[in-house]
Amino acid sequence: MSIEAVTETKWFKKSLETSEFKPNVLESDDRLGKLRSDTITAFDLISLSAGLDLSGLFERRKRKETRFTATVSAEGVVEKAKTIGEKLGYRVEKKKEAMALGLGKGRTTVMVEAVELVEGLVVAEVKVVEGEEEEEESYWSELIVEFEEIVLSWHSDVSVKVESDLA
Amino acid sequence: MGCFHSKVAREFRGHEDPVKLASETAFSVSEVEALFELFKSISSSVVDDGLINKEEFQLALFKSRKRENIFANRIFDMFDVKRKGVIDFGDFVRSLNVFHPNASLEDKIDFTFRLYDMDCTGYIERQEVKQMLIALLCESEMKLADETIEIILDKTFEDADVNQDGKIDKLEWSDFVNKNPSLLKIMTLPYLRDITTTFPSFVFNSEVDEIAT
Repeated sequence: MSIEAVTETKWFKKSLETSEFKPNVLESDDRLGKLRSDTITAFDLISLSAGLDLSGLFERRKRKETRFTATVSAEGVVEKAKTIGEKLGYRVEKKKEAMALGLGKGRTTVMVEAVELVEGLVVAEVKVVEGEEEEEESYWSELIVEFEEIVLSWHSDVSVKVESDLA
Repeated sequence: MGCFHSKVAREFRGHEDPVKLASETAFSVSEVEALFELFKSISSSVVDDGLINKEEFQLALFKSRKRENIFANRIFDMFDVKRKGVIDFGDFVRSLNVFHPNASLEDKIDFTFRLYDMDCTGYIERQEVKQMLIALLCESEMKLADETIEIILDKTFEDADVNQDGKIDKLEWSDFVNKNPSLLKIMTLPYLRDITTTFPSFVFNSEVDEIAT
């Protein structure tokens, strides 16, 4: 088989595509940001569990994510995220119909969402939804430090640094 | 060249036939082959035996072996269709099928009902929901006053438990989910649509005639 013929095969073309999955950011999970405190049910909360998010099966490493209880309203969190993004030179994308915002820089996208679970309790989530390991670390630290101002308490840091044996 | 069929047979020996699995699910044969790549990776991570045990499942999901989670445990039990304590390739594909974007709403609703009916009584009882809610709050270190928890439960059962018998039956659940479709978001994995790109299979499909060695 000639080289030209090989390059024409479906197999070869497929192998050229990046194997790193690029989720459509618009499809990203924004469950938190879509909750409304007046209509929240126990199941809305239960379905936030990491144990019910099977997307982890398809990802080769744990992406950075964390939650915190905020000192401001849900709108306040999104506003702050926008300010931080603009200050640090991120592309800002406000999601429609959800208290959520996407921040992009390089090949990394970070999603910030917030919800007032019950009166007075605002929970926010910051997570990397797309990105490369090398960029992720530095972008994450520069962003997280900026949020401190509106954090009442950090929830347990969900991300785990892993010596990937699944690579 | 004749090596195609024996290569496929070798690759999948001991596991269910991908063509059969494709015919019974929303996946194409190449998608089943791609799932096999993922399955191989997960099932060999702790014990290389061609089966996914609880620890390997946790590792794949959380990238951490020791992270216990009642919901992940429940999902594992549901994937472990034959109740053997391990998930084989057939179980894996058939279970993931429900999460396919094209799987029926009915199947997804049925799965969530069985998922939340933790003690398998055929009903989702208030006590069960309370347990699950508390587990979630613990997991995410969110603190809610006991009173608030009760208020949330009251509201949930007001909405879902139409005949007010303290438990949610299959029909009530179905109606409830249809009114709150976001509850099914966990039941669809967009990743499954692009599975052959994420996990390129090295089992050549029939479109490749021969590769010069």
